[in-house]
Amino acid sequence: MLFARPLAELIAELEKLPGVGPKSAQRLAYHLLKTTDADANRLADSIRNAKLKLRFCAKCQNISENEICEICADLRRDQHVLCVVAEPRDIAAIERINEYRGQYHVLHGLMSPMDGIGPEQLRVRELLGRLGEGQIEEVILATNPTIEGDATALYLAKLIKPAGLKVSRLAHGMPVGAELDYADSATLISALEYRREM
Amino acid sequence: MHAFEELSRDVEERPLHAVGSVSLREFRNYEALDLELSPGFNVVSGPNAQGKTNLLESLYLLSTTRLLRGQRDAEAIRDGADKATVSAKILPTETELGMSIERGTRKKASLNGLGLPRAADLIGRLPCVCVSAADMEIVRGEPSERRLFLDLELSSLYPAYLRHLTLYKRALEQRNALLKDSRERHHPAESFEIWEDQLANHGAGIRLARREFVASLGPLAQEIHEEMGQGEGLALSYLEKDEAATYEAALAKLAESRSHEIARGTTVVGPHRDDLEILVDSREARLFGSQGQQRTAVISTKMATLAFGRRHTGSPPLLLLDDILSDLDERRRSLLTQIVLSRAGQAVLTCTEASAAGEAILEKAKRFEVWAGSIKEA
Ligand SMILES: [Zn+2]
Repeated sequence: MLFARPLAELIAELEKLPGVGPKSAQRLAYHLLKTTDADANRLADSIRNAKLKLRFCAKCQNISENEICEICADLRRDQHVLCVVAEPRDIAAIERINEYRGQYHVLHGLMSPMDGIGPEQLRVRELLGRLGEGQIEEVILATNPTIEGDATALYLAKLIKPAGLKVSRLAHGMPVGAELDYADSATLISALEYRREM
Repeated sequence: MHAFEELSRDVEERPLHAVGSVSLREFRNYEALDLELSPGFNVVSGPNAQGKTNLLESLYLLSTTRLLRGQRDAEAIRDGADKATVSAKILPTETELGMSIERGTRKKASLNGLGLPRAADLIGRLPCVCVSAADMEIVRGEPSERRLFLDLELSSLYPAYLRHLTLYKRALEQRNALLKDSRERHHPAESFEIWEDQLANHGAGIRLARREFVASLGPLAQEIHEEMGQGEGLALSYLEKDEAATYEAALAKLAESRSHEIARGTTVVGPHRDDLEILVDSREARLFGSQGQQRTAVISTKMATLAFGRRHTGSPPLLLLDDILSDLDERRRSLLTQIVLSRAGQAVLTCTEASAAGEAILEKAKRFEVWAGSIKEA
């Protein structure tokens, strides 16, 4: 046997993480074995805690500690504009530039028939429910400019527009294939400013 | 479509760009090789299986990011090694292009020693036209061989084309997955429309570029074909299998074919089904041409891309001729030699016997002899 069983199990678990290959899983595992008991316990506890305490915000579906997240609970924010993103990390990217003061909605993925992902696998029903409440006047579709991002935006536009809402898409000042959370602030600001109506 | 407007416009001659030197490490049968090339003609000779084609292939790799004959990248790593690298210095700018292939990871490209985000970012920096025996498939093979020929040429000339192509293929995979899933359960029209919109958009871009490219290439190929002493005319035309030339027409076509495509589980309309028709003397060369006619048709088409590239960028692409001359009869060989002399800038020619390159080329050429993975100047 190559590794003692507990070590082999640890490596196997680490390998399941995104971006971690067999080699880095081994390196991480050996590193963890060398850390103090206190450090190892803290890591284990923080994973357990995060799983236990975090949930999805009942309004925007972002990761939240409370039933309603901080952004949704902030009544000073614009209640009439809603920005739709694919992943929670995209909210962080847009918040960083300090330009947008409206609401968010997280889809948790993009349409991709190859991966068996359709509207039912995304938080689309929740989005339509929110729009049905009547407060939102404009929807900004801020999915990445990839094939899947564009397809998802087009799908939502087809669904939302008949309700008479203003629907716009982030301007493609962003390089094609670029990801929202890697775009620099200047690019992101102009993408927001020059969003085009769909 | 700005890039494609330039397709038929002549460009001013630029100073000749040429590969000044090439270095291989653990590539194919070369452990380490550093070679200074002539900016004009280079004749590489030696017995078979000693590494002539491998040298040529290293330049093809830097140009296209692909190996010859569509082999998988790892096959280029020398037995017993983990990583193959190829680099070349381009004159007069001294730009250094690099490519490394390592087992278990994606190949990586570099420019002046700095890694590029994607290997495909190297495409277009060293335009080349390569002619080898495998290119006979352009005439003889399936339509996919001819589409690949068009795609490779257009991608190296227009980055916008490569983008259309990549996005088209992705949207196609998504729609095909949806078609297959539709046998299990119903999907509403919108679920199809969102992929069809992108197929129609990028498909129209692909077709426009291919159509204009073939229209420009045709007369050039015809001219070279005549110079090759062929009485019969050579005609190239781009065949669109469905009549949907514009975005709107393609959208309508895709919507219309949805129901029978569900039964087949795959998309049957669009540029991924098109073909390049090659007629010799008004007859399809694939079916009716003799081997000699087919060979001449391929050489003429390939040499036409050289002339096209020269017109497009102002400097002729690097010409790679892999053991082409020895296969031709005396008369055709000397005619091709004349065409090479009049049209090529830098060229690398391989042959078993150097004499196959002909006196006219040898006079001007730098000569190399290959033996068991090492090369010396002759
Ligand atoms: Zn929220």
